[in-house]
Amino acid sequence: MTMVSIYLSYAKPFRNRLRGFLTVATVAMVFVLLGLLGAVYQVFHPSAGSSGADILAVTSRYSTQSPLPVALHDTIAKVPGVRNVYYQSGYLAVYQQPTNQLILAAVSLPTDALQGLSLSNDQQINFTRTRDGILVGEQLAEHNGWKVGQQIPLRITGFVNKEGGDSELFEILGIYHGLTADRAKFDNIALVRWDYLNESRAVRSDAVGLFKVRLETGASPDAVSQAIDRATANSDHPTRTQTAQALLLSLFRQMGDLSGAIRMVVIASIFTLVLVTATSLTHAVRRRSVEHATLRAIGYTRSTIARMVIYESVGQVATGVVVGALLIAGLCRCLHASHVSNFPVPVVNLGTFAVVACGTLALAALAGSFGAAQAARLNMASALKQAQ
Amino acid sequence: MNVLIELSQLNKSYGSGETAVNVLKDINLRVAEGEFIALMGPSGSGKTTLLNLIGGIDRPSGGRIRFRAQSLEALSDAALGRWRSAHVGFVFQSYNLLPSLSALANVEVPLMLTALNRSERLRRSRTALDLVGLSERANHKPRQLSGGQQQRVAIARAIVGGPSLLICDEPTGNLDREAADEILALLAELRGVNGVTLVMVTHDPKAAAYADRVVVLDKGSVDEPVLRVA
Repeated sequence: MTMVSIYLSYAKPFRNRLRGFLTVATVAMVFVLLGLLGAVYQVFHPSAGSSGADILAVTSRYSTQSPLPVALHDTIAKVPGVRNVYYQSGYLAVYQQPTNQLILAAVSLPTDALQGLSLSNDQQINFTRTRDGILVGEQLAEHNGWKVGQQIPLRITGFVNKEGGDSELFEILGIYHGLTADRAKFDNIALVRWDYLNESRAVRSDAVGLFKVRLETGASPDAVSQAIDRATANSDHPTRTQTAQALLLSLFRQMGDLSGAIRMVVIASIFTLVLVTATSLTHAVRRRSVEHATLRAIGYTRSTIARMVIYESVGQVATGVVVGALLIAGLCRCLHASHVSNFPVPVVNLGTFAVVACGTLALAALAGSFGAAQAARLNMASALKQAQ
Repeated sequence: MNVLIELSQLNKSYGSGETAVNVLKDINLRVAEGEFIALMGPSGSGKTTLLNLIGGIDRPSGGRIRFRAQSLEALSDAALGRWRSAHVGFVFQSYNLLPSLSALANVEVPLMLTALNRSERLRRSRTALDLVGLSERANHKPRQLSGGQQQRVAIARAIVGGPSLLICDEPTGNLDREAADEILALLAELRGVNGVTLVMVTHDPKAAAYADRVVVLDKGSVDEPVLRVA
């Protein structure tokens, strides 16, 4: 009986092509929105499984945007429980056109920033030996047509070199991609040496954006964090130490509680989806009361008719989900190709797709249940009278 | 004479208390196996209501409906549905075909409730379409067919399950004279071939002329004497 219900219900959704198209388009757009928001959320919101819980990030107590003196390196390194200390600064750079911007991460030597990237040992060693070397992510290289060995001039925002200019020449030593989903976020940035940029400045700033601390095995992140902050408390640059995950979360919160905003939009989208589908279906069920009454007269039960309506709802929304999934996949691909943003382009993974798709289909069943209840309550005799 | 349907003191009213409207009052009627009955009467006399009660689409407020030895009024909704599926075929004035399905698929719809496999369902559906002379239109959608052709498809749908009783509610009401005559001739022919019992509501005396007996309803009662046509 289920197959019969599915067969009969699938014959219906696109009878009125315009209405079917509009419903599917609405669902597809909602799905695109849900998918994109989920992806953005995933990019900015560190998941429980992502790396960062065992790495401490040391920033200025006053603001994560305030630089810290590189001299703090030694102070931090002496804190018990600290195994390694790295540091880095972020710059916005421009290649050829002002609109062609990219993120430049200036990293200390040694650094852990090269871990999880597809770079050979030779390329990594070469980076430590070449002061003006640059390692670029695959997407960035592809977008700009860069090759290994090429010299590229980059204009760096807020940077003044000894000649009074803002342009520096770098030699591409390697092109990489992230070996994990987490590291894939580096695929459209470039890595340069912090010491080279610092020394090229007209006036050395000796400032870093943040310190990254790797802990000794068994060291307590809380205890080490407190110890670092105590060690800098009476200096000109008191610090705030937290796990890398916590830092990302705090940055996330600083973006105007984007998380909350996204949740609100998602909830609004879900309500829209339920209302649009439920409204469309209840109208359709009302118009098809004669058909449903005819099927009942032939011998179909109330529950079969109700199932047909739910299957129709799910089928219609599933079509929208597939269209939405294709749209979002295409959208992500276009964004990857165009690099319109300085931030890593969100990639909607299968997990996000599956969660959103399952949720959407469950909602479709819920939305369909309104029409299904209406169809099940149908009075056959009255409905058949309408046809005459 | 084997009685197929027996109505005893059948009543049907809508509403309750002082606002109750009695549509049918104390109807007594017997329909023999293989008989063709036409129900006639002015608008609002309760013809369609009576037809719905006989066909198990509606339930009486009082009295009994027996189909062979079985009382219908005691059946549950689901059991009544199964009874309709097994024993009754319906032909409606507006055909009531599913517009998104082809003629063949429309005819197949009642068989989907049976345990028949798809190939057998299709074979029987094609046979039924052939019987009504529409085998060449099997893949056409209802909107691609004329009114007469749509009613033929509806008749094929009604007979495909091999019912004992065919309920026809003004089957020619939306058709021109020529198409109406063709449909009535077809119904009469089917009765001859399958031995099916026909109960038909009509306003058309020419249509009633095809019946063995005409039962005239007036203000909810069978207007005696019952006219016997043939």
